[in-house]
Amino acid sequence: MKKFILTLLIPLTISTILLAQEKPLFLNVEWTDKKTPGQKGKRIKDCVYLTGDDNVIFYLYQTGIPPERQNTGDYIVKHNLKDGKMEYFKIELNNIKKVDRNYEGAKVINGDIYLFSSFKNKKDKKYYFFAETVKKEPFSLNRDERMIGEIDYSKIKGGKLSNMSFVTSPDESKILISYSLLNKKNEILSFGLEVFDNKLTSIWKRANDFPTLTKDEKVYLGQYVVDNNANAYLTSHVYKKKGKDKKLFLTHYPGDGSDAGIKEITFSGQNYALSQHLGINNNNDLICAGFFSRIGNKSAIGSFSIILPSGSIKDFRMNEKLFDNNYLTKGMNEKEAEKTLEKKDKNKDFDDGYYYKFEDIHFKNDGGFYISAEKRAITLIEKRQQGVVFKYNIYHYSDISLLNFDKNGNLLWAYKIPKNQNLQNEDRNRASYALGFDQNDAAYIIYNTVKMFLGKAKSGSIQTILIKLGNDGTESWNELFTDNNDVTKSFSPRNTRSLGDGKFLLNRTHYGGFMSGPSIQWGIVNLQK
Amino acid sequence: MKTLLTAFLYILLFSSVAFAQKKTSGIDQYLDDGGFSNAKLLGKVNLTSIYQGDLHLSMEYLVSKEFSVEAGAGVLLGYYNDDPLNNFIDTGDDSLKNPKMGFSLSAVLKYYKDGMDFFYISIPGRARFIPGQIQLYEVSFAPGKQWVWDNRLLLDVSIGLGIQHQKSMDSKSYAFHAEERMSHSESSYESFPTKNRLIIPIAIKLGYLF
Repeated sequence: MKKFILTLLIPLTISTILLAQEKPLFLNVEWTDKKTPGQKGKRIKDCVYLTGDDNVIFYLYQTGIPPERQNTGDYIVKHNLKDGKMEYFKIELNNIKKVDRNYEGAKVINGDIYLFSSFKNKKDKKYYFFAETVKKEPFSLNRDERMIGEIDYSKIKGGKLSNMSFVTSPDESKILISYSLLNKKNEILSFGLEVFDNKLTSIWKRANDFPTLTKDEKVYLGQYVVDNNANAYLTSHVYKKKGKDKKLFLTHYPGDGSDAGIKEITFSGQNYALSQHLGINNNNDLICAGFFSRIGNKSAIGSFSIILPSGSIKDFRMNEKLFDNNYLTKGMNEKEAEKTLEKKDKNKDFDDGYYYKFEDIHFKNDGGFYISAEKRAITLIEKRQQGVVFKYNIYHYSDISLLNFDKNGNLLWAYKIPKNQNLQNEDRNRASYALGFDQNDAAYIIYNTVKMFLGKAKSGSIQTILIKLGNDGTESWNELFTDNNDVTKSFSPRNTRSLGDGKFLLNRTHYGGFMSGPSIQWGIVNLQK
Repeated sequence: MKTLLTAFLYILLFSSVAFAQKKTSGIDQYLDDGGFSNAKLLGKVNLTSIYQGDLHLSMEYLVSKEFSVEAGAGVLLGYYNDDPLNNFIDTGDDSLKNPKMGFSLSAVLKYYKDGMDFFYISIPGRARFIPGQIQLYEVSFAPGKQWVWDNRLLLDVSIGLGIQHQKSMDSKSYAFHAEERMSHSESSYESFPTKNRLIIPIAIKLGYLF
């Protein structure tokens, strides 16, 4: 994160994409009425779709107050798309004695909405985990909370529970819950994971199985996945505290409780894994794919894929491929492209300061897969005005990459959408993208190109673009909502969700006044038709 | 008839038992931490005030997760030391000569950012009375932090900025700006105007969560 001290506000601009233009696409979307979930006057911080159908959807709605880091409430919302009726309640979990549990997250398991929570019992010196369900009709908590796991922290001084994550296996028969215990410097003291069946009965539990660290190394835990047989996998990066060496490890936790297998992923030459994502297909094969860079740099120069057939580390397969120069310089002018390639040839960074946010890996009918990622960054701005310091974040949503691999992990093609969105507060709802696929494994990407000044969109300056990419790489694009300026001004790719088979749940997020807060509209459209 | 009556009595008996049972959740046992998370009272002794000659005890009541009120009382021990941080903003004569014993009262309003085991902002007030000698009143704005450990011991540290007011009862006893009295001593021993000054109060309290 870079710190800047500014005395003037900078205009925030977005570049438009020049592609071969198709005819504008007029969508017949039946939008719901504007509704405000949660406490009025509070700004929207996040909106996460949980489950639903063409008639009723359920989602999490999080409110916050500036700066956006401060959370004021988590709500769960039921929204009828036909009659527009909305119900919601704040997630406040306590028992009859009003002892508060900490809400940790929500997960949909076989269509049921589960809420997970924790409680630090200082008498027992244990963290207890709980799960409870949400009743869809009438819409309320089921009050069926039960304890599903515990962590003993009596021997870990100062441990604070953090980084809880919940993942399900492809068939949703297994659920993996992972957590870390951090010290006050946010360093990991201990971590653990536990796998449950879909009745939330514990199958196995482990702690602290990762590579032994030397004193000059530190570890960052990556992503967990679990397969249908209760095998779990974890990626972790081990860094030298001094120097630029970074190693990727893949850890396999067998579902039968046998010893964990740890494999260091080594790359050719001086390359290392920059960022990657895990997924498990319906054959229980583990896929790990992402970007690599050169040691000492943080710019992505190529892609890699790792396949563990049926999760077996012994049958490990790996592919690496450098990006061609056209991909790396797409969207740049001649001078920028020349400078980028010059830096790359001299083994210098040309694209650092970003992290990659991946979507779930999409597995194709032919056994291949897609990975997609958006380059992001957060900049903390400090502004001094008459002796008072104001701090706020600028969120950068940059290039979108979509990579198509065959069933052996060979890269078929890589597609990039260059963009540069620098936004703050609720303007972030105009940023990012929505991704979906149809039955023929064609990809649909929807995003906004927008010019913003001081947080207010200029009239007529927003375009909503749909890019369709066939499995063979053929591309076409359309502009959406050209017949309705109000839609383009409020459309939120960030909160839009793919429902599969080319169908999208579109979201519009309207800025609210000081007392009223933002409002939301939803609409379903099938882009395959 | 007798059977019906017996059956009716049984029904009555079991229904009263059912009503008598409290509703409990299956997870209550895991949320039972000996009353720690439901604790409302914190007892404290002010260590910095002992240096100032005031043995001061207080009780804090947690109205909610964010707000609390604290009230205390103390015994003035017959000696006086000024808060050392006050020297940074007030370099005058700050010694109260030959103080006798007395008593003190305090009240604090607090707002916790995220529970009692975290940062807070407060408005503390204190009054000290030495009968026949002097009365001292102070109020300030003081941010602070409180640590509460698993063994229920706690540490509360705050530092603030405020105003102190003194009222001499014998025209001789002053806690600060006493040299100004000397400048008038040649002309008369009449009572002088009461004095105010800025203060930087620091409070370090040890306590226990009940």
